[in-house]
Amino acid sequence: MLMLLRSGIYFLLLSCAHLVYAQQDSIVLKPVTVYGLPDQKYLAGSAVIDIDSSLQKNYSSNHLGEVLSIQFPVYFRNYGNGMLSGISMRGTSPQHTAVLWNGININSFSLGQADFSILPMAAFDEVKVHPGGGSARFGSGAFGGTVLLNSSVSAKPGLISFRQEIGSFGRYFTSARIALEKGPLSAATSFYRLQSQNDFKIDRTNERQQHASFTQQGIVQDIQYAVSSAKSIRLHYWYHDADRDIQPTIGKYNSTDEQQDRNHRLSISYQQNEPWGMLKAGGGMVDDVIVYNGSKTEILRWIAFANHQYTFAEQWHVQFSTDWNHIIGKIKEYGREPVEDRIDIASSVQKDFKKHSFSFNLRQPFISQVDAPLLPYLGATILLLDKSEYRLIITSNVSKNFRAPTLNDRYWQNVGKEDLKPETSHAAEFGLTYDRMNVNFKGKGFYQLIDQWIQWIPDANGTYRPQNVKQVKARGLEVAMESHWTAGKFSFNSKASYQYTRSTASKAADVDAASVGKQLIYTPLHTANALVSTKFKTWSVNVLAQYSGKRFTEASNSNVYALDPYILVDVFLGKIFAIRRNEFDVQFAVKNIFNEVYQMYASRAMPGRYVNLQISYQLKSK
Amino acid sequence: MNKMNLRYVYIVFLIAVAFSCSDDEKPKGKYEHGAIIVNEGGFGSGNGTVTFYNTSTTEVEQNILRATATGFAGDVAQSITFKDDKAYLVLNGDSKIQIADANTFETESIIAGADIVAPRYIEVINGKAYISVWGPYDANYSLIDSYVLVYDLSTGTVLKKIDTDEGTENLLYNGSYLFASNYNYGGSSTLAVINPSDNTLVKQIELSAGPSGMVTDANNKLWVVCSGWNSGNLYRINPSTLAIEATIEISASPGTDLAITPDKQNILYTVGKSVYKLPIGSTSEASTALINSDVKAFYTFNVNPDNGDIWIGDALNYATTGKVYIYSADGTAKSSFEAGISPGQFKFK
Repeated sequence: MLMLLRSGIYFLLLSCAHLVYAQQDSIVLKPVTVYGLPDQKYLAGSAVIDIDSSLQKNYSSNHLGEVLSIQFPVYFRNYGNGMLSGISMRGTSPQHTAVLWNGININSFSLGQADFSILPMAAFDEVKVHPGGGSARFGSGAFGGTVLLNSSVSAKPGLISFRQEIGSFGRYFTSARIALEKGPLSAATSFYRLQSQNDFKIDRTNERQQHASFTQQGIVQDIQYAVSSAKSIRLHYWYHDADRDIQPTIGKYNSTDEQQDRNHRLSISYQQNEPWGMLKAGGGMVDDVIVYNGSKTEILRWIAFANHQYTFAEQWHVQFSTDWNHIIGKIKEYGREPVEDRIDIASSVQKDFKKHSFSFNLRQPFISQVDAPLLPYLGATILLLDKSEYRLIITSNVSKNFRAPTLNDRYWQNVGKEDLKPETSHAAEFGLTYDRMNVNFKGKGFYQLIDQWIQWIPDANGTYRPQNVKQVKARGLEVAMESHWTAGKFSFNSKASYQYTRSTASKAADVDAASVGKQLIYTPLHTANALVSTKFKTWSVNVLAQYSGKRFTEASNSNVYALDPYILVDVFLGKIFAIRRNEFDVQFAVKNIFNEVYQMYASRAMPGRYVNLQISYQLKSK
Repeated sequence: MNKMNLRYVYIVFLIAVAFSCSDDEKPKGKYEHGAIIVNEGGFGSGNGTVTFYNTSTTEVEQNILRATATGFAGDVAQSITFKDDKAYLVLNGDSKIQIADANTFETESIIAGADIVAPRYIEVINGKAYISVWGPYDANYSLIDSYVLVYDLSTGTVLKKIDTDEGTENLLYNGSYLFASNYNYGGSSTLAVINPSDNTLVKQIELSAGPSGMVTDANNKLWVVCSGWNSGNLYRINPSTLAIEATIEISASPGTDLAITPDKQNILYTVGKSVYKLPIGSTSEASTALINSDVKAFYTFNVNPDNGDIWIGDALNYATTGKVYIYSADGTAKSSFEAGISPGQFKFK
């Protein structure tokens, strides 16, 4: 009933919008080249942050988790070096950050979280992060934030590029890319392969890490066919294949656990950019296979999506969209092969005033047997002061967000509950930005109340069952600073941020009562990072640092099980050699230069100081 | 002070020095007497710990055996055995046995090797370690090769693998035979009898599903609990003839631990969260519980042989710091304290 009422409200809104559309129909619009807006415009009041370009270059052979933790105040639960890596953003758990690849959610539908260790930087052209609640725009799981991974279709500066790295502990990375353009057809193919013996020395025991080697390889194919200047067809395909020995806890003998991941991701879309709006429609496929100790699990998804944007007079932007996910769970432990459909409908309104902008997003997901709530997002960016030497900007937003129960939660034989409630969150954020020519300073406060948090709780017989038992309050403060200046052939760029995150359980299951009022596990109270990149002619020196405070690994915050704070510093020295259209880029890196002994997950060793040499070649287009 | 007095003082001084030098008087270490709690730790988290409870001062000290580089005992601390001032901690997840000084808990050496995969318990007899080993799982998570490993502690070599039914669990040495219960979550139903003088398997006594905890009573009879599925059994076995002398049916499935009162006249067993007391001459199960605890996850129990106190370990959700509840011998609640994650065994020394 509630659902019906909600969809009723939704369609009412939809029809109102159409009414406006009909009335505005006769107005002749000024011709503009692009009739659609990028995501960030629909998220007034919050930020969509690009990954730093020097990071993207220095860490091109690393996985996304290793990169994001340098620029953003996030924490990763890395189960060892190159092992399972789960993000914790703004005091939430790994399943509370949505990862979207070309608009398609690629979190594991069986586990809920994305494993960042199998998201290599080499596979994406563009990485953006939207911190904070964003379900109204990005769907399920966007509590702590959303990571946006995009493939590029525009012509690349490099026709052919090649990269080779050699590093400590038998680490080799190779990647190659070729981009071609012929008439209306442009295509880019890239290939990458990473392998590591990963037998770093464990401090204190002085023994080498056993059973932690891994290889990863993949291929990315992007094709665009321009039917006309306004119409195009795009295809993105990405296959990733990972094979690893599971790094054991320190001191373990006779380890044999191993895991293979095979992920196919495909997106095909048609885009039409006309005065009557920008239409995008298409479909895709995601096939996630995990083979753990020879036992295979697979989730196959078929996806269809369509959205339309239209700009009314006076820069009123409206977007309607719908997504459909057809999900097939091929997991032995489910006892059957569940098939489910998830449909989302959403709309957005965005308006730019002279100095301010605001946006409103609304989404209604539909999942069989799950009562998904209506998800609004309201945000505003207000230019408070606009002086000649500086600007002061206020950003603020409120949102309601949700996370659908995972397939494991719903279908695990004998214990799963098909009618589990989704997790919901109410989030609010307020920020101030001070902008000068060379300096940018941001301060932000955020608050989020997550309810119906799903946890697997042992019952009286010790059998774990998923239940909506926990309520969590996550709040914090974030400050970030950026400055850059250039003097002749010398340029300097720096970024620094600090986050204070208090994330505590306010309700918990009986057996977990000790967690009430306590900081969530693997959620540092303090995180900070800084990066400084300098360039002089063809030389560059980059220094990157990250700090994570003490993390509890036990719910009642026992100090017996807490992990000590750590600081990691990486230093890069680079030089570019150019010979006509040929460009060689050589970089030498010393990572963890202070040889810090640290752990990101209980009892999993991480490497001390190590080195890496990177040589890139690029043949630039004429 | 006269000469006589001085001589007297001198003698007293000499006696004092002599006593303080004697091994009997000087404490061997901080943890010589008291209760030892083995906390499994989170599965695969490498944070199994040992907690010490000083029975005279009631002071609690967490994590006294810091063996790994991360400062814990290791992964999935299963059981501890004390013999000749040495502590043998069996680390199931780490597939190793950590040896430490039993009184200071300073680490000494490690027993590990290709033949030790998922060890459970250890018994030390005449310089040889007998280790119950589950062995690896197959693709369907079934055990395929369990055994009792005989290991020479002086030479550090494997002497023999005594093949048993799968899921070999508790070990009990009564002076002539080593008994090994083949548990396998109810998948096995035998009790292996090993003769340590020649390391042969004398017999596997057929009991019912899931033999695990064992004790010997005042008449030196061996008691074994079999958890079963919906109901279980207590067996009384003649340790010389190896004949089953009594079978007591437990109408609900009993827990895997078995304990005995200090006078060895009463067996203590559990069903769910309740503890039952049964005189050794009984022929049927106890009608009422001695203790109806309200712990969240009943994980282990034992009896303090010094005063008959009954200790219960609560693992809560197996991820958070567990609790220990102490009841007096008559079943009244006395006190409680926090231990480590998943307290799974109590030993008193």
